[in-house]
Amino acid sequence: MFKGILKIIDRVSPPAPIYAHCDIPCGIYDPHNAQVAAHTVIRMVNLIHELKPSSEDPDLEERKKIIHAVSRYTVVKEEHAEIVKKEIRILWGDYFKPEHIEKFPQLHFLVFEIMKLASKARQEINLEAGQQLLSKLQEFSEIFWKTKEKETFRIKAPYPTEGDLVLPK
Amino acid sequence: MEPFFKSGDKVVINRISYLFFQPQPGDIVALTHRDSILLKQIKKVSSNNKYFVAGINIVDSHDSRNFGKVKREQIVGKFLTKY
Repeated sequence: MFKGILKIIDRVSPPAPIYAHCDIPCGIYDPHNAQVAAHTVIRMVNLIHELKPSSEDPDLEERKKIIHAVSRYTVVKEEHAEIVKKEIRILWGDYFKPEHIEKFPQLHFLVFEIMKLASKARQEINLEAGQQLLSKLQEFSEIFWKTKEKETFRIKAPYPTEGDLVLPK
Repeated sequence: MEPFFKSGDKVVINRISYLFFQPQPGDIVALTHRDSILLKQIKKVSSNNKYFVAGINIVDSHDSRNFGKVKREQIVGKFLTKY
């Protein structure tokens, strides 16, 4: 009866939306994308290093191909280093709460290190920076899943980079 | 605030109740935040008449732990029922 009256009122005057949950969508936070992006950064560095001219003085066509390939790899490296920064910024700013920081006091500095390494990976053709970035993201991911009371495990990523991925059980 | 509220639920907010009484800890309230209306539970009332609100599903909630305590004038009304 009461619900019926409410439904009639809704037809006359539709209710305004009210949000009971967090940033839309609720609870969908995951550091996975950041890890995949770091793998991509490493892969792009490797691809740039693998480019070899056929001779000491390649012709114009070959030079163009090499420059073109380097340009493309660099663009993707830039984009994915930026994805790392964006994903971590969202998790740090929107997901993590003061009680998480109390439990994992290293988190702020860890995020700082990730941001710096992601910038370094953008600026340079630096495999070590890419690998350190991935390592810090794995550490970050383990903390993230601990806050959700989920155990994690490391698997060999099915990518040419052959680094690890941290996943929840 | 799942599982208590699910996406698509409709709720009735009593805008009159806080004309006579002050919001209390435990009350589920509608409040304005930026351009939206949120549904949260009052966890604590401060001496300066500000309200610490949180979701019932505390792990994933976006609440006072993110955006700080809310002012009395942000509270629109008290949750009455859902349908």
